[in-house]
Amino acid sequence: MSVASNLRQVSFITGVEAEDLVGVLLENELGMTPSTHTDMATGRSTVSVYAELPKEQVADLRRRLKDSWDAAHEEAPHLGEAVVRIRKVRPLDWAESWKRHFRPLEIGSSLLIKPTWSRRRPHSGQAVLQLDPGLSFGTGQHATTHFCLTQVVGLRRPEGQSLLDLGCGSGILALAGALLGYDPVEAWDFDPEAVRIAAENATLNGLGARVRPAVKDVTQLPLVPDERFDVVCANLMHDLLIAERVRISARVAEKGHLVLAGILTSQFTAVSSAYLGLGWELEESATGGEWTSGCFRRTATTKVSSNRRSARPGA
Amino acid sequence: MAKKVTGMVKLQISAGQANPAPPVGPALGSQGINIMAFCKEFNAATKDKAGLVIPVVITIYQDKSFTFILKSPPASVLLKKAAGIASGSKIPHKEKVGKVTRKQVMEIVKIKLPDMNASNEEAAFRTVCGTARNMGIDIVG
Repeated sequence: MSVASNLRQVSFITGVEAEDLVGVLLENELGMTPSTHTDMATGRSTVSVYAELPKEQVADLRRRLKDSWDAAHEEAPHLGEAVVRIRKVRPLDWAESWKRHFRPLEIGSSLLIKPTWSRRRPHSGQAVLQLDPGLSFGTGQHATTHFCLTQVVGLRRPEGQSLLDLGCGSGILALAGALLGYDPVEAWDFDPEAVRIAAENATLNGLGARVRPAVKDVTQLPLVPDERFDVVCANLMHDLLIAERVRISARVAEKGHLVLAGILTSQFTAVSSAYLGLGWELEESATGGEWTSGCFRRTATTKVSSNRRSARPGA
Repeated sequence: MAKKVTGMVKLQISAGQANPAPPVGPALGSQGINIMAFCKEFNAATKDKAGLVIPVVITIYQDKSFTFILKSPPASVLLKKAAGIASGSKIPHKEKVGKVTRKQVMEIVKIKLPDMNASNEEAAFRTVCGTARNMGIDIVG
C-alpha cells in the first residue's frame, strides 16, 4: 500500500468535554470527520484528522485552528484548554504495522504462543499455540494471563489432569492446557462474544473437538457442581473472586489447585484472605506491573461441597 | 478476565467500508490494535447500514485486545443533513452557511440523547445548538 509522504496528523489535545467542539473545528477546516483517542491514564483526548498537507501550509493551518478555538472558547470557557498539534505521519503499511506490538511468547521450555504471522519455530518438544490479538481478552501479553499460563505449565502431571478456564476470554489458558495434555478441558465465559472467539481459536489450533467453550456465568453456577477439576484458573476481577469464592472453590478437585488472577496488588490481601478463610493455602504468588496473582492448593481442612464426579475419567 | 481499559478510540466510518487506510490505520495501529480484525468485525456489524456514517467507540484493554460499540450518527452530520448543506463554515461566527429550526434541533437531540453526556434534553439541546453555531448554522423558529 502506498502512503503519500505529506500525510499529517492534525490534532487538538484537549479534555473529554471539548472533544465534540474541536472535532467540529477540524471538520470545518479540513472537511473530514475526526477520530479521537482518549488516554485513560491522563484523561486527555487527542482529536485528529489525517490529511495530505504540504509543509508550507502547516503554519497557516495551525494559526487558523488556534483562532477558531479561541473564538469558540470565548463562548464556552468552561470547556478548558485545547492545544493544536500538527505532526507528520510516517508512511506505514497500516494493515501490517500494528503487528510490531506482538512478539512470540515462551512459557518455560514447553509452550510457545505466537501470532499466526510469526515464523518462529518451536524448540523440540515445545507445544505451539497460535493466537492473534483481537476482540477478546487474553493474548498472553498481560501479567495476569502470563501468571496463569506459567501455572498451567507448572502444574501439569504425567498422569494427566483436568482443567477449567473460568472467564476464558480468548480461550488462551484452556487451549494452552489442551496442547500440554490436560484432558478434559473446559472453557467458560459469561460473554457470548468471548465464547465465539475462543471457539474460533480452538478451531485455528486444531483443538475444536477437545475444547468447546461454553457460555456460563460464574454467579449462576450451582453451588454443588456436576464435575470438579484438578486445576481451575479464574482470571476474573477481585470483587467477583471474593463474592463467588464458594462457587469457584467447589469446582476444584481434592488435592487440586486454584489459580486466581485479575487482582490489583492493592486488592490481593483481601482476595487471599477470603480464600484462606475457606481453608486454601497460598502456594505461590507473583507480581507483574500493578497486578498480583496467586496459586492456591487445598489443605486437609478446605471446605468443599460434595461432588458427584471428577471431570477426569478414571480419577 | 482482568480487563483494564487503557484507552478509547472514537472513529466515524462509512458502514461496511472500514479499511486500514487513514483514519482507521493510524488511529488503531498506533495503539497496537489488530486492524484487520477490527475492519472485519465492523464491516460485518454494519453491513445492513449501507450509506450511513457510523460512529464507533473502540475500548482498548491492557493486553491490546479490544471491544467496540456502534453509536448514532454524529450531531454535525445530522445538522448538515437538516440544513441541506455539504459542509460547515470555516469562519462559523462570521460566515453563516445554513439554518435549522428549533424543531429540527429537537429531533436531532432525540436521536443523539442516548449517546450524549448531557443530563437532560435541555442540556443536550444547548450542546447541539453550540455545535450548530460552530458550524456556521443559525437556529431559527
